[in-house]
Amino acid sequence: MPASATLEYPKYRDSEPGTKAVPVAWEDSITALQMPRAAVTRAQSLQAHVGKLGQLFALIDPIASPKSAVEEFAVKPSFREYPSQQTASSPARTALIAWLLDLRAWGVETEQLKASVRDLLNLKRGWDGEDAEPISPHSIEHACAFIDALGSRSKDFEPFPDPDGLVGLEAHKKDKVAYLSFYEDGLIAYVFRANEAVHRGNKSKPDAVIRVLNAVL
Amino acid sequence: MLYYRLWLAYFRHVVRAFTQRQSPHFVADFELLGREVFSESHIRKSAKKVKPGLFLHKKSRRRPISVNRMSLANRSLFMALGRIHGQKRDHTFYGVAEFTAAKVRTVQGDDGWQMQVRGTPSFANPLHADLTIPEDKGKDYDIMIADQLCEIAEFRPARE
Repeated sequence: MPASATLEYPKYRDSEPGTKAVPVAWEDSITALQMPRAAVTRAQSLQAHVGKLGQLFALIDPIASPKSAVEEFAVKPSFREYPSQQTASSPARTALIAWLLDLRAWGVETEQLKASVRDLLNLKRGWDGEDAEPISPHSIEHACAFIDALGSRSKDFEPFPDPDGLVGLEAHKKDKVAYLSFYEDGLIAYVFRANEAVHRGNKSKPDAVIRVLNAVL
Repeated sequence: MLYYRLWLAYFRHVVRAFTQRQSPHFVADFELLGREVFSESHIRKSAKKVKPGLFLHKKSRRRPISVNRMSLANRSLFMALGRIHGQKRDHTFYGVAEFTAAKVRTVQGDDGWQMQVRGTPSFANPLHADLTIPEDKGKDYDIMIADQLCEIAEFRPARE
C-alpha cells in the first residue's frame, strides 16, 4: 500500500477567527509521531492538568509533525504491532519529548502555585491571631494573572498573606529576594533585593514590575 | 503556675537590672526575642524561616510588633504561654520566630529609620517587649523592613 494513501494528519477543529487551529485531541497528534506510550500518558496528564497549555501544543505541530514521521506511521499503522518501533527515537523526537516534559513540569508548577494562592481565600478575619483582614478575591485574581504573565519564572515564587487582606508572592534565590504584594486594583507593591542593593516601588503596574524583575533578578 | 513563674523570672530580671543601674525596660543586645506564630501561612516550607506577613501590620491599625523576651525564662515556659495565647484566640500555636535584640537594632530603612526594642511588661505577660515600627511610608517600605526581620529570624516549632 503506498504510504500516501493512508496518511492521517491530526484533525483540527474550527478555531475562532484570529486564533491558531488546535488539534481535536493531543493524543491523535502525539500518537502520529509514534511517541512511547509513557510519553503519551504524560502528555494526556498534562492536558488534564493544564487546559490552557493545550493551545501551546498547537505550536508543536509545525515542528513535530514532519511528513516523514507521519509517513512512517502510515506504513506501520499501529505501533502496538511493532514493539521495536516504540523504542526507536531520533534526536528531534527526544528533544520534543524533553520539551513536552519541561512544559508539563512548568504547567503543573504554575497551577500548583495558583492553587496555593487561591487557598488563601480560606483565611478568615483574624487569621494571624490578631486582627488581619480576610484575603481579597480581587487581590488573588491579580496575583494569578501575574503568575501567568510571569511565565517560567513563576516557579520560584511562594505565596504569603498580608494582614491588609492582600496576596503576596516571594521568591528567594541565593542572595536575591523578591517580594510582591497585590492591591485590589491590580497595582503592585514590590521589593527586590540583590545582595545589599534594594529596589522597591509602590502601586506599580504589573508590566512595569515584570520589566524591573527581569532586570534586577 | 505559669504566670507565677513568668513573674518570678521578671522580678529576677528587675533585681539584676537595678544592680546594673539599668531600667528593667531596657533590652540588652544579647537578649533573645521571640514572636509567636499563629498561622501556618507565616512559615516558609523550606528551612527554618518565616514569611514577611508575620511582621507586617494593618494599614488602619499600626502598632508595635509584640515579642517575648525569651532569654529571661525557659523556652518551654514561652511555648506554654504561646499555647495559652493560641487557645484564647482560637488559633493553633505553631512556634516562635526568634532573633536577638542586637540584630533587631540592625534593621533599618533606606531613609535612616532604625528599629528599636523596648520592654513593655503587662500583667498577663511581664516578659513582653515591643519592636518599634516606622510611620506609614507605603507597603513597599513595610515589606522592606519585614524582609530584614525574616532574614534575622529563625523559626522554632512548638513541638521540637
